[in-house]
Amino acid sequence: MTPIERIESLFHQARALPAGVERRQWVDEQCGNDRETAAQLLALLDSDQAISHLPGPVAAAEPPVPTAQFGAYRAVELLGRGGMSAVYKARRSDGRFEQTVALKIMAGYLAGPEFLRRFELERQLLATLSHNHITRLLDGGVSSAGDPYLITEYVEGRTIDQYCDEEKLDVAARLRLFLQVCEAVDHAHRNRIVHLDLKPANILVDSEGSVKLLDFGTAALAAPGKSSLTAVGLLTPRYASPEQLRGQPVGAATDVFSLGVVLYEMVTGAWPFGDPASALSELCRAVGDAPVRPPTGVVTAEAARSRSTPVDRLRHMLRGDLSAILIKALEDDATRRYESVTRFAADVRHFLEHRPVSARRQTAWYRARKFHRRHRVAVTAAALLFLFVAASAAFLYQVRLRNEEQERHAAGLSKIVTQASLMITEHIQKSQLELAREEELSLRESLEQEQRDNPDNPLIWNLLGSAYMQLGQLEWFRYGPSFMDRDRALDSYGRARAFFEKMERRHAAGALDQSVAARMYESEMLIETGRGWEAFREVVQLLRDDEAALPSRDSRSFGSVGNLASYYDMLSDRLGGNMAWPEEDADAPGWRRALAALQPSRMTNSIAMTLYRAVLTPPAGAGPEAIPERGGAIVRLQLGRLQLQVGMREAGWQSLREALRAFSVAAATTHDSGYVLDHLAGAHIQLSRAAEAEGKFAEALREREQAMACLDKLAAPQPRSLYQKERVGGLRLASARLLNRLGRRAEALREGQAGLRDLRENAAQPRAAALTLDLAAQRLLTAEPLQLRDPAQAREYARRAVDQTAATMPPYLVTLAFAELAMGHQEAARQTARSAVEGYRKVGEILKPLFDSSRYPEAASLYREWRKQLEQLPDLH
Amino acid sequence: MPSESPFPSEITGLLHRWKDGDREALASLASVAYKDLRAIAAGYLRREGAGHTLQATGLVNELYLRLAQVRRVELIDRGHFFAFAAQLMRMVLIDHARRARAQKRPAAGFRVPLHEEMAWVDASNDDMLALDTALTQLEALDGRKVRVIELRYFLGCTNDEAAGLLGVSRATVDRDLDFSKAWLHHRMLGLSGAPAPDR
Repeated sequence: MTPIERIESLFHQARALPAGVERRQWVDEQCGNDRETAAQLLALLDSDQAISHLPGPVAAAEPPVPTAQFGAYRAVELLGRGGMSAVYKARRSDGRFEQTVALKIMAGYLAGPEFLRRFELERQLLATLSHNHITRLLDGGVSSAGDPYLITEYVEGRTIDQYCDEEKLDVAARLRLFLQVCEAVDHAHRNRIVHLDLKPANILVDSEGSVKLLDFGTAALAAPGKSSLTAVGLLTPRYASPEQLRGQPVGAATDVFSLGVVLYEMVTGAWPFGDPASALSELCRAVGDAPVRPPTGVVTAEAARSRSTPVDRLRHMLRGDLSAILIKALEDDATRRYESVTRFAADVRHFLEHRPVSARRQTAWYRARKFHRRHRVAVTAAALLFLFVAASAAFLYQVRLRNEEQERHAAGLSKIVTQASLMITEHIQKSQLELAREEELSLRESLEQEQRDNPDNPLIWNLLGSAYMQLGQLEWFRYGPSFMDRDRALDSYGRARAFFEKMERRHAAGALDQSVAARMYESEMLIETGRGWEAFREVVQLLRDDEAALPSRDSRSFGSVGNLASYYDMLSDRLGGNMAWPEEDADAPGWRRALAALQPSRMTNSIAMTLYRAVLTPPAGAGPEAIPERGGAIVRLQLGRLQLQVGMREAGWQSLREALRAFSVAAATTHDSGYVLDHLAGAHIQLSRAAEAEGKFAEALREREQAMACLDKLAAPQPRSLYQKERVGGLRLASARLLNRLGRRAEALREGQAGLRDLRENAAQPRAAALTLDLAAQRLLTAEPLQLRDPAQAREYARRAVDQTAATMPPYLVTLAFAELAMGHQEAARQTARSAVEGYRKVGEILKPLFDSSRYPEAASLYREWRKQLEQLPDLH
Repeated sequence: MPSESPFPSEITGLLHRWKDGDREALASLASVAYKDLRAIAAGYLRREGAGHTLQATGLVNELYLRLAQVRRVELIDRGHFFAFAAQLMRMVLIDHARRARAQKRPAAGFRVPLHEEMAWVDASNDDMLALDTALTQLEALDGRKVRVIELRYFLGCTNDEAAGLLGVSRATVDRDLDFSKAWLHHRMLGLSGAPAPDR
């Protein structure tokens, strides 16, 4: 224990004892001869005592009730103090009438000539406000002492939150009361007066249950053009809108927001943005960093009691429509809130009448508004697929446009699709799944409508195709936020494909690229829905179609060949090519060793390498500048990986280093950092593998750490996607393995456990992808240090992966077989292994046409070798 | 609205250096980007605010508004960001106190307690210099305690938030605070030469 730790420990223990003799004796005992420590300890305890006995912050002594004359009135009794003002009960003092009023005196230093001028103007305006639910302004001016003041109706009543809680009003009653408030605010808005300081303290309810609003317009009066109203201490940040916190222009939408906060509290009993005691929340809100907490999650039993409703029922009521209303009123972006208090009130009324609520039908569809790019969808690696497609296809479009109007319509359409997609993504990220669904359904309807309206326009087909691709990715995507709904995604990709095929038939350039991409995505969905054989057949077909078209593509061959190469790469993955099963002990059955060494993707890897090399060769007559910078780097990364896998060390290292260099440069200069960081991480991972293969464990570990740093940066503004978690989990496990080899066992264990936790969390998702499950299973079987392994759970995951894919994916069967073997179930393992081999034979047959010896001689011969190896697997017959 | 904002990359560079342990970068950043922050601080600390703690002056808000731009530009994680904001806040106050002393200005005339729980420290005067020295000494013994103090009392986080930002338990934060306050109080007595309290 360090000296300070010791003092600390003694301090806390001593504190627990009563002050005085007992404590001093204990200190003496503990310290013995160490007088220095004892003295220090006692001094600290003294300070501790002194602190707790300090008087609290000096409360401002209440000023005496002012005696000055304020118009015809004199102050009688203090009612309350605000930031820069004080309110008194006052009486008419000219002996003519008996009248009690409220007298608000504003801080003297505010009164300059400018202020007085505005005060006069505002007073005229406020005097015209006449409404049941608004306290009337009777008079105002500047006192003889120089203080500006306002005289309003005096209202006996409780603040609205007090009233509701004391009367234990239920939600419906509270909503009805709220409607009165809306009426009042709406009336003021129609008279061009905004409140800007709406809060429960300004909303009184009298003995008859009628609402009275106070303090209209005074906030605007006091500080126009100040950098931030809360800074001047005039505003309670708790109910302030984001624009007020930021010192931006305010308006009617500001009142909508404050009303939203009030309603949220009335209905749930909690503050929408977390802990109101925290100064940090105000700051976070100013930046737009504070999401609205879902109303169903914040109700407590106590709140339910004040609302005369059982907790469950209250939660149920808050779901759906009422939540949507609150969220709409509390939007950070003023343009997305209710446009007026009238509409806000209308929705509340509809809710009370059990009618549909506009907040839920809200879509971005017919709003051509500027959309803030605050919530960018994190770009991830699998979008790599689309790098080439987007670059090569959509803009090569050569359909002759009929007229400018069409073009504008198309542009508008595509913007709307993007907006809708971003909104859906946002909703999913905020776990507002019902809202996301609504948007998705609405988008689908609109797309179908568009199709009906424009059945014969290739420009629209292109857009619809792309729109369905985007929709598909929102419905099921391993790499980003999605609904995890395979069937829907399959449907979307199918539709996308249909549109692109239509375009192909019209000989639209670039249509082929897109339809092939759509088919690739579709095939992924087929695998995930248990139609694996079909998927493999589909892939063979699309690869042949794609290759057949290659010679006819000229100017964008980089993109086209690049795509083709990446499809072969994806096929390698599906064959199980990326996993390296480590050496096992000598008494494992022969088939296990043979299966582990099978390398099912050697053929497709060979083709991919050939294609990647071709991509990096500039076309005839062109120089190296013909290769796009970033695309080239990505290709080098993949090529390097493949070269190392087949043992081409020199070439592999060089490719990787070049890729790393290009990515590092891009990372420093580009604003699209998410995308580049992702690839940079990939480059470090490959370098790590290369180093590990050569036994350079320390270097390998360093590369892993670099990769981790990139992924950390990537995750920062948003929660990690499943895919990123998978990568991080894999990274941690690799680091664990390396740390173990370097003898750093404790760290290795920690990292390994963290990595497994990531993977387990992913696998625990109810609709986890089969690929995710298989990966988790593999890692659980091969983790190092050995005590991290969990064959039982590995078997569970592998089983799920196999079931989900209806046993049509041979690599998943291999994983399952290995898991069963690790559990000691020899016979079951053997059976599963047999199925795996069967599966590989079947897939091999399906894929055979790809390995045509005239085009890819090396691949063809590798294929023959592979088939032979399959036949000769020991012990399985 | 923030007046002159330097290029994001400049701020980013400084932020990185600060993250890597370069304390000078913090000073540079404050002087480069937020010249007017000191003037604002001076204004707030002069305001009629008897009984108000620093939190209520809104100075923290101003700070944040300026830093908010920066955060959007740079993907820096929350923990680091708030730690940075807290330290910047501390710097601004120290700076204000130093200038006041150098210019031999009279004390503001009323106290602005740093925080309800540290009411013995007046944020508007020399107390801040003593506190800064004491914090620097504490930093040598246990940096985390200083971070907790900064987050709680300079930035106004709740105990739970501080725990979350620092990645420790709430109990740890509570203990750190109890000890640190006593320690700082004791140190500051020594520094300012005030009479010892009654036992």
